[in-house]
Amino acid sequence: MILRALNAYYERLLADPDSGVAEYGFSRQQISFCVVIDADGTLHEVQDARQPDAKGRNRHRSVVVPGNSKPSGSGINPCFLWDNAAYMLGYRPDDPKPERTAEAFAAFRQRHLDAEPQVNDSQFSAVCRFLEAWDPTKAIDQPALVELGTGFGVFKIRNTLPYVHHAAPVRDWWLKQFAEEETAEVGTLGQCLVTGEVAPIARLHEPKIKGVYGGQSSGAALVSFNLDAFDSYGKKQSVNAPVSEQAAFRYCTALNRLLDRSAGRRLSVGDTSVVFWTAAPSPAEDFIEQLFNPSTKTEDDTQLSEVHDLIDAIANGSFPPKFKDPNTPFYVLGLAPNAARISVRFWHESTLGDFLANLGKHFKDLEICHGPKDQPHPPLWRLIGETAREAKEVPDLLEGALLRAILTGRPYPQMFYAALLRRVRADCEVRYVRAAAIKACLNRNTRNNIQPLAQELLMSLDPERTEEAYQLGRLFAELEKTQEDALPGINDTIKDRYFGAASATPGSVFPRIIRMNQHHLGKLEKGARTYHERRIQEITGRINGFPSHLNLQQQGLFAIGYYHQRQDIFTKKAPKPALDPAAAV
Amino acid sequence: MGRSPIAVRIWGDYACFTRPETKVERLSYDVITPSAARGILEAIYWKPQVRWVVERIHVYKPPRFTNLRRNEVASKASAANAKKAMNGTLKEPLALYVDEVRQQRAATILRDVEYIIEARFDLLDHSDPIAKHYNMFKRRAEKGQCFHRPYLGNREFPCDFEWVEGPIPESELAGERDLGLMLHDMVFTPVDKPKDADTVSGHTGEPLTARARFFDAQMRQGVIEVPPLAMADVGGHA
Repeated sequence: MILRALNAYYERLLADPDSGVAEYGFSRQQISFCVVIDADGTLHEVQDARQPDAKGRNRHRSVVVPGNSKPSGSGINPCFLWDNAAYMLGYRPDDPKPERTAEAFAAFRQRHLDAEPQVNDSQFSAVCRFLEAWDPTKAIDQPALVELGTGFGVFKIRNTLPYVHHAAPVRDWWLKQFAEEETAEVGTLGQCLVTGEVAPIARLHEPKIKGVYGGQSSGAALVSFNLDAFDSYGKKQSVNAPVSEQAAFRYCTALNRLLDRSAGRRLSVGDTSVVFWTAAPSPAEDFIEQLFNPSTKTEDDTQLSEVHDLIDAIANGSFPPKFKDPNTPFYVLGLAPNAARISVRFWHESTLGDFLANLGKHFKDLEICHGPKDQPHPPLWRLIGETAREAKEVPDLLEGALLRAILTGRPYPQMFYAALLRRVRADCEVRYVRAAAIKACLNRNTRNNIQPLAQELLMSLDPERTEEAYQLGRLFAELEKTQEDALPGINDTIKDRYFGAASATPGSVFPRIIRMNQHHLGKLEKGARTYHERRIQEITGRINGFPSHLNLQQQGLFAIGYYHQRQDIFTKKAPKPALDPAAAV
Repeated sequence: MGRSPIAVRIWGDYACFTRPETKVERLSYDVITPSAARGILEAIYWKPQVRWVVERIHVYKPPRFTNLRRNEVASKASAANAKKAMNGTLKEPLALYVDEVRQQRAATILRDVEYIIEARFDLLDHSDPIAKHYNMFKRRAEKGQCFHRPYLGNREFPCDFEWVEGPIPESELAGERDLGLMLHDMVFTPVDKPKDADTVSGHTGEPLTARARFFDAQMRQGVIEVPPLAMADVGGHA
């Protein structure tokens, strides 16, 4: 299904003239220099073909060139009208093997001279004249070339617009020749598992897939059988999974396109590169990355508020009308590298409507009271970031499992919940995102009948909750506040010392901190003391005793109770007329 | 819709019906494939005189996925070395050392599956009545006997099975779902020259080519109709 959906996406791209997707027989390559020749074949100059990007850094220019990719291997294998400087100009900076470079240039020249009579094009002939006359020792006179050193180059005739390989006669000849080569190379016919038709089966799937985070820079393969343990029935390489040459090219091209950073169709979830697309063009595609990871930068306020308005609408269960048809099929593919192979972390097919409904549930579950500085709708990377000290400590499987839970609306992985609590205990901190994630886990478990709570947790303080763990969390927040008021500016509060133990084994901690609380109360003015005593009393009235041990679910409740109470303390309340004037400080 | 003579309910906690295109870093099909179903039936009962034909697959639980990583090996034990060892001419011990050829591979597998397979036999040898094979299978399935433990795609994911008598319960899965092209089975065709062969018959030692056949899997109300496996071979070496 993945390959078939990608194949369909390729057709969609091909139908769109703006997409610039490479046709069969061509591929996109990162070009760094351009050899500009006069019409008679004399060199004009070697230009730097890179372009500055938005941040002002020079980026390689992406150009459609003949052939699927640079052939791999150590042999001499020149490309057609593009290659690195060693092949094109016989130049390599700090050359360790000058003989090999000379050989490479000779092979490149020979290939083009051999093709000249068949191609029969003036631009191409100019290139041939240049290759005949070129002296590799002069390469150092070209400052651009010396500066760039490595990277690929293309040819261009001075004062003409497209590159030489884009000239119509050259293109036509290449396509004809490519098709012939392909037919000659065909080893096996078989039923293609993408199209169902009997066709020549690709031995290797090209072009290579680039842009999977952490993968090899030369590209990796989604379908590959690179070791003999993977073969079945004596079949070699990709014949094990019969895909026709055309289909292989198409799905690889489509996937490369989705993975391209500039396309805005990918996001990184931990070490997983996630791409998404819809079967038919929809404006939603341009927003999805933002929906998962709402930007926190305020550079572009209009866009920021637009995305947040969208999320608000989605969280309330409505489908934004500008996304057109909610029944459009929607695909999400998560990829992670394993050396030269790419593994599918997850694959999810649904409709745009279902997807947004599930995403809405996710944001709804995360809603919890927070301070004015905290952005609503925490982005995905922050949720994952809350499970570990640093990004590389996040277990690989967690990210995929979490995203799967969001996409399908199923409970969040237990691993995620456990990791959150571990962090809470370790650094004694219940921050906004963490609290939101814990609350979302507990509520979703309740809805799916996994250790259900008596009722779902609310967004903010719910003093009537019956769970003792929740009330203990509240009590802890009040005890901490008393200490803070009694000893302002203190470095080490009871939270820093006792939070972890209090949330796991309240029986051994609470008696001690309540004793300490007596000292803290003693330091306060009378009014403040009454105020704190009253609030503590209100909570202790709901507690029967201190259990010796809280399980994982109860620890989560404890954390939420603490967070709710703490938020409540710092929320300005409308003055209540019934409040005892003595307590108002 | 007529019911096939044989119906077996199978269920298990995990399953991996690997797609050929994602075989190395495994990703499962959404549901059991006909060839995996055939494998389960063969685990319960197999004779050289009969060939299993899977006719229909009923799906009772929506596909749910989970991820798994396992340490596996990168190479196969060498058949040539095994032969040498049998002749007593192999110098080194016949072995594959896992710590030298370790490979970690990821898998995206199914969780909690339940199916009913409807199937029949085709007789290859008519010297025995088909009723004999049918009754032998039924007896074995009812008692829970099997030649080897049936499994859901990978040996690591064993399954339970039971004989289904009477009408087949309806699945709760509503609507239609296009599952795309799915592996139907491998078609083996004898060839003359051993060098053209992909494999040899484990039964007769005959050289064979192996060709994968795919079918367009459509699930309607939880039921997948499996078309007959066209026996005609497609294509050959050009």
